[in-house]
Amino acid sequence: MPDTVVRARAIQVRYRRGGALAVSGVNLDLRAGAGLLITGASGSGKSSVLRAVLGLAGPGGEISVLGAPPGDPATLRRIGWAPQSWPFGYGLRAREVVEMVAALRGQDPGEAGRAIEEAGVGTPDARVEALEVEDVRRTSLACALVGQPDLLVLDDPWEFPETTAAIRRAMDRGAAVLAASKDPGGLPGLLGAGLHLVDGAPG
Amino acid sequence: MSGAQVIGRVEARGISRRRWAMVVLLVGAALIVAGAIVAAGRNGLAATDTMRSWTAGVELVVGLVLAAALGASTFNRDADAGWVGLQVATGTPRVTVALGRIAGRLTVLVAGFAMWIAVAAIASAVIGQGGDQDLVVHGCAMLGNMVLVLLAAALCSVALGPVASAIVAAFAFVSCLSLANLMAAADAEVIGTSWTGFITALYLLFPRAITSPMLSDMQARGVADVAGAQLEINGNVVLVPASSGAAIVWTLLWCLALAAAAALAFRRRALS
Repeated sequence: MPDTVVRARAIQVRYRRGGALAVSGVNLDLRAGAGLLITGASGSGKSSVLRAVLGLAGPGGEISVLGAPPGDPATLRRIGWAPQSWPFGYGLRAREVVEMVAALRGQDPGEAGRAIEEAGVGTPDARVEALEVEDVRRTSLACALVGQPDLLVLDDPWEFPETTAAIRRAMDRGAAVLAASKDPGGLPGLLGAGLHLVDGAPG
Repeated sequence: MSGAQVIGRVEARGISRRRWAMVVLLVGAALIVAGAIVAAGRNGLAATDTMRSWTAGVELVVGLVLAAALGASTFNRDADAGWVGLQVATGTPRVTVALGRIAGRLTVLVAGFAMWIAVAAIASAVIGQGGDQDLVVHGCAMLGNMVLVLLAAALCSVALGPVASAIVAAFAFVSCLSLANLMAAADAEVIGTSWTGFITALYLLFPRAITSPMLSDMQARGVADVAGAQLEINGNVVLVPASSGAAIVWTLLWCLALAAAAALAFRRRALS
């Protein structure tokens, strides 16, 4: 694994052609075994920066993730992504969501069970639309923990004991952790470096 | 198992558990049974026509609702909510994700039509009409039409919301239907010859609604009801012929083109 996990200069994110920039002028440096927490108010561009790193939202600027451009499929298999909100296909059980992530990342089904346990999902056999918000966040975390990735990207992680334990374990084994949070709580102390955004730019 | 298969299976499983999908599938089956009950009270050809027109009507109207709803949900809301982003962030190429999501929806559509065709065949046999092969063939023809609707809606859903995608796809199907009718009218020389070239060009270029031999016969006799009103132009009844093999192949090629276009268009879509 390269020592620099994420290196980004002048990140730009625009969701629609000709639309306003959601993010501009953001630089990131994240090394193996280190953490970085992006903070800011709602709509400040925190999630957009994470999506740019993953190649989900058309990134501009110079971005390198694990030595490859953002969105490179082989690189994405080494990244664990925990989206915010309620990001699951309705009708499925929480366990099925994590099993899908495991299957798509080439992991065996047992790895999904391990990630569910590590994230502390209380009702993995409940349908996602019936999950308590807390279990939604835990399921999201479980998706990120599948396969012990080299980079954990956590959007608005809730600070469960399992979250902090997973972040510590990841950093101890040399993985990098990039997180975004509006209410960081104890995460700054855990992750070390920080970046505050105001209206899509470093503030 | 490939990425497209994993996503297709997960999508089909999730959709088939959704209440709206179950309601649409069961309403279709219930209406076919209701048609069989009405047909059982009639004799001979009237009973056969009633069973067939009810079933064909269900496959058209409820099938259109199912296909449009399935296709219209392919990308938009799931892409904005983060579900599609979660699938892409696993390292699965975007084209594979798109094809998997479409395949999952096609699976539900095919399963729905298979259920309706089976219910119609059983109901037809129970009321003494036999398994009715013609009705089975018509069901397959309508499935072909609805695959076209689903894929048109899926393509629209890359950029449009679900309601707009469903409306555009339904409109596209009605246009294909109209084109087949206009071509039949042009062949029968009941419309102005100045239009014939234009209509032929459109007919050759665009996908064509697939008409089964059963529907063609019932339309000509004016007994197809909702499934296909008798086509009458300037006082002349126009026979809409059953689709040729070439017309069916052309429409299926359009289906492939729409699926490919949806997958390619999805590559550039911003995801949450």
